[in-house]
Amino acid sequence: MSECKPTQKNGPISPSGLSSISKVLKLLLSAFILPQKPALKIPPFLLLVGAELRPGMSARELAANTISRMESEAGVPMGDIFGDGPNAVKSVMLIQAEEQVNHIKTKAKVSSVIKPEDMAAAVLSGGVAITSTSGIIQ
Amino acid sequence: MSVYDQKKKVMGNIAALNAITEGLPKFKTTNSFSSMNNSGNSTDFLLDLIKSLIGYEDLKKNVIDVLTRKLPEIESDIKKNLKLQLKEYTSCGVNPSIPSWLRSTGSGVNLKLSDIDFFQITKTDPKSAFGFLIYNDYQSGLNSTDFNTFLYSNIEQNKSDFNPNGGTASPWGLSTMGTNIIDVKFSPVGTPTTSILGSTTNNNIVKITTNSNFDNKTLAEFNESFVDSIYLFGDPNNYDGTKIINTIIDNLFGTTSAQIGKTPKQLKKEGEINEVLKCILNSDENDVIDDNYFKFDNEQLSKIETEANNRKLGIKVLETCGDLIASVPISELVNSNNLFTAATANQIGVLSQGEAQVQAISKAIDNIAAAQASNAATIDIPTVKFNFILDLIKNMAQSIINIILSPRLVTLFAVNFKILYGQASMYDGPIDFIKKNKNLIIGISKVILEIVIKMLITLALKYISKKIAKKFEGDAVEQNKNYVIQILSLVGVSPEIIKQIQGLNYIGA
Repeated sequence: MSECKPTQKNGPISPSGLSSISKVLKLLLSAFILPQKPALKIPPFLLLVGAELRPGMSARELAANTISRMESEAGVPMGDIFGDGPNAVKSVMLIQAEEQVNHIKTKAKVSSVIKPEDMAAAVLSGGVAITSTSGIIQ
Repeated sequence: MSVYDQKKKVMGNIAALNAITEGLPKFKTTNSFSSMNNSGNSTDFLLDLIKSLIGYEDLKKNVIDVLTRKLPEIESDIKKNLKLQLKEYTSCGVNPSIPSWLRSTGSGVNLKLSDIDFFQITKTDPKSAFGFLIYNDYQSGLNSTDFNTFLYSNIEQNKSDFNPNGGTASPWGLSTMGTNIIDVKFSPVGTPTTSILGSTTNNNIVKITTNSNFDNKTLAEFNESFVDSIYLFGDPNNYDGTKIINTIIDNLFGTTSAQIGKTPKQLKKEGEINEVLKCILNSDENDVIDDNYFKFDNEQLSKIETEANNRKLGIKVLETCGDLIASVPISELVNSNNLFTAATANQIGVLSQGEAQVQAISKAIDNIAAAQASNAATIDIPTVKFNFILDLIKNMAQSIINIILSPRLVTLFAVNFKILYGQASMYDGPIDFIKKNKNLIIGISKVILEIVIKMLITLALKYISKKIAKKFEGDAVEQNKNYVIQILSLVGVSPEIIKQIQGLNYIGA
């Protein structure tokens, strides 16, 4: 009868394509893409003075604080479990803290730049530029 | 990235938001969701997502919104899509005028009643005790605005005429369009045909021709007018969402089917139709709907058989801690429909009709949810009730298609099928019918599915954006706090005091 049977035609196109899982997922994932605000600047003179007072990183302290909160807030038992020997999760926390602190202390590198106008101000004042630098931790 | 990976990413983002905005995660592990796979079923995934975000009342509100306020939009979208799809039929080299054999004086389209009434609707009298659960405008006979009621009335009128091709034709269209579009005649006895195998007679034949008003119209005009003449959810001035609830409940629990005595064979056939519809609804836009969509493997057949047996008994087996036998008594459905009728008739009092209808549907859902959870252990009742709302949503699209695949529109599809494939062409039952009209069915399935998905996405995004706003608020506070803390640390304030300011209530090392 006809040259064009319905079974041979292209499938119908839904109005918004939302019946497709990939479009649904794309839409949902796009909801999580958010702009981020830049961090606030620390006054440079405070950095100059205050940095001297910092105690430095401690893996033991980091592990102790984490283990303490894991037990009290997350309800994860951190003590030794009867018959099972030392608590493995506690050891994991300690190892993780030690490795992280060690990694930062031995591998991290701070690269920063001073804006040309601040450099010029420093040269003109004949001393240290009381300003901030912009940089990244590598 | 695979669908599964993307699903994991969405769930992971929500788990992270939950952890940040509500403290530690209350989210289930993503693998515990049944939809966490590569399946293209958007509804199941969105329902899994939503059940982690909101509760029974919020979900119920949205279901009520669909069943009360969204029905005009659903009906309009379905009809728009149907007209487009039917236009496609007529633009494929077929003469766009109505064939002479279909005109009022022609031999017409002759089909067995079972070939347009897949769900055996016309076996129930609209005026019987439970007829109003199935039909709209059930008391108006041949003047009804519901095509199904009209068809039943013609069957009733002609059922005792046992002459070959006996009976009187009744015109359809005046009650809803102000003009008649087709003539329908039910004959208990058809024309005997003789072949080498002997003489056979097909009984229970429905003959369809255009009404003389439409003899000279184009096929497109005929199709559009017929589509417009059909009310899917009752009178457009009083849309009735209870018929959707009735269909969903019958599909899930067999409440009406058990009562009106459908046979296991019929229930199995309905199970097969619904299985095909489920597969079409679950298909992704890029999937090719091939012949495999219309065949069943042993697992599917066993599931269909079990569900048909359960529907025959009027039960559904729910999974709680063990298997729970649940049912919805027919009296509960009757009460729910009566509540809605009373609200529509404005017998509620001070409320507006719309508000009264919303309240009636809300009460109906609560009552049905409670009834089906009545055998559950007290501790399981909230979960069983919540799962019921999820089931309502999960089965909504399929049940709306069931409403469409009743004689009210199958009649039109069958007429177009005969025009396209030839007057003598046939289809072998509902599955073959869906297969041969698959683009029509896929088209309307996707339109209905999109309405359900839009509702679920809107809900999901509403709650996700609430959490994101909370995160934003928290981020700003954290950023300011960090700033103050860094300043304090630089001026020599002790770490213990700083931690108190941060709100970290650890036991200091």
